[in-house]
Amino acid sequence: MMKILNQIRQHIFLVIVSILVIIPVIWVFVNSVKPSSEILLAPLSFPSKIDFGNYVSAWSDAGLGVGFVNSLIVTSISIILIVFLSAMVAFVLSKKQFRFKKTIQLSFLLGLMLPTFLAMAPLFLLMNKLDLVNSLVGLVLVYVAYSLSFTIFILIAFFNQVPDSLEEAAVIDGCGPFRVFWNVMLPLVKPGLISAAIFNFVGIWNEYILALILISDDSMKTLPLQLANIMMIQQYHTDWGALYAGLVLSIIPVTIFFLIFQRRLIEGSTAGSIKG
Amino acid sequence: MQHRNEKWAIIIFLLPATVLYFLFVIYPSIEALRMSFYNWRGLGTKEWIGFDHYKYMFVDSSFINAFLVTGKYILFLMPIVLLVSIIIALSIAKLIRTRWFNLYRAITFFPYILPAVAIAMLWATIFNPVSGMLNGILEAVGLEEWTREWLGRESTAFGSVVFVTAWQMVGFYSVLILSSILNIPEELLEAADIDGASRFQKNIYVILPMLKDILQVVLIFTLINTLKVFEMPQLMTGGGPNGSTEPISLYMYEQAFSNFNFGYASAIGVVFLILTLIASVLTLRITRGDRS
Repeated sequence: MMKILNQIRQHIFLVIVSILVIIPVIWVFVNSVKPSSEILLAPLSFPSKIDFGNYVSAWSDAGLGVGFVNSLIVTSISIILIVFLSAMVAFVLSKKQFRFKKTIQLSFLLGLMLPTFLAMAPLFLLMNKLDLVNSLVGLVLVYVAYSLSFTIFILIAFFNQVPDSLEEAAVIDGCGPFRVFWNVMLPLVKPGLISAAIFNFVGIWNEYILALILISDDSMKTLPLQLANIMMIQQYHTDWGALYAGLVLSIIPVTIFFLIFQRRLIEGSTAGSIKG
Repeated sequence: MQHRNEKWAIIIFLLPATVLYFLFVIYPSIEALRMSFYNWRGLGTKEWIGFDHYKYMFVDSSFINAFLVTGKYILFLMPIVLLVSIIIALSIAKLIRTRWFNLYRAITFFPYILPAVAIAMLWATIFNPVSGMLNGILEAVGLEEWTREWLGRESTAFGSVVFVTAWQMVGFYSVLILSSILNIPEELLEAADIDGASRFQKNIYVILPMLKDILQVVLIFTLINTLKVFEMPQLMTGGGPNGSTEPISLYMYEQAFSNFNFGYASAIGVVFLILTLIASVLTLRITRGDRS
């Protein structure tokens, strides 16, 4: 009896926390398959029948399909570029000696401190001048630029762990700098590349503020923008069903990612800060 | 020959990232400093006005309000996030080596990876006075008089936004604290057990002092992240009612993209930078401190 009481005491707080996390998410899922009429009339009850109609209207009428595809394109291209370009810089900063090395290192370090909000207005004006507003290419370039600092510093830690002797051996075998990087270094820091890709996936899939200032054309909007859009339209004619379906669409990819890479995400996101 | 080859390789490795970074991050940041001294609406001539934008902040009641609201967010979120994260971390740490450990850790962390936009809208639907879950539950358990327009009243809007922001943040910090609890040497805890310390005493006198550094980090991360709060107020309340939930970030966005007052928005951005730098310097101090 004592043992059970003790168990309850240990779990009760965490159970409350878990309910607070899970119930809202379940509520969104349940409402997303409810016929629109029931959402308003019986918000708390389970649906009388499972109805995927909301997804159809969310996907086509509310433009979430376009948003989903745009987000997928922007996120995947950005990640490839971020990981690749950051690895090149991290490799050089970790393994090479040259003039201005300190300057370059410090300027990338500065990027960790500069708030996006500072650059917001001039960035918009610059993009406007370059004709990169309302363009997925523009958005990708900005995402890459703003993710470099963080990714470079993750990757430098991984390159530092690769012993210099390996590079020297490769050079003696006649490898040029590019072969060393591609054939020797990249395979050795693969765990770092994967971690960097995972963190950037979550960050860019969820990104809202930069997209908000750079994209206004409906056909170019990413998923978070399209979602926010429904919210604004909502105030006039209410398509709650589409809203809930849209929420599910935006939650699912990151959730799948989370389920697959849980360990890496949780442990990776804390490791850096503990060391610091 | 070898040497020259190497030099070119270094340049080629650095060039693409550096160009993108200086063009889209460094240049706009410096440009913001410059633009803050001009009166400019994006079109027409720029007019040099010196420190007028900065002076105006002291009499702009909307800016003062936003500044104070940001302060209020920090004042509420820092202790709430810290306290809740500590309790969660301590509770999960006790379950190590049980099958519950990973489950609770995953559930707590989960909100942290969700899109902020989705979190804001999810909770906005829960707080909705007509079809929302919160009022629905209150009615179902007979507390009709508690039902209200949560996001539409000044008395509850701020608290609601704080709650949702905490809901988003707490998971990350709990896991952060948890991993430093797990780093505490076992001998210390065993010694406390031998001395007959109760669980509560062990938490207060053994574990918490060991967490001093990480708790400082948590406070400062919360500070920096609270400065950046944007999606929750923008999407849940639009900064209202009466500006009671409008932080500096949102006010700045409106100045730039609703009023096209780019000069003034940049000046607010500079203030934002100064606040962030103060927080960053604090971080550096602390992380330097524990290395020595």
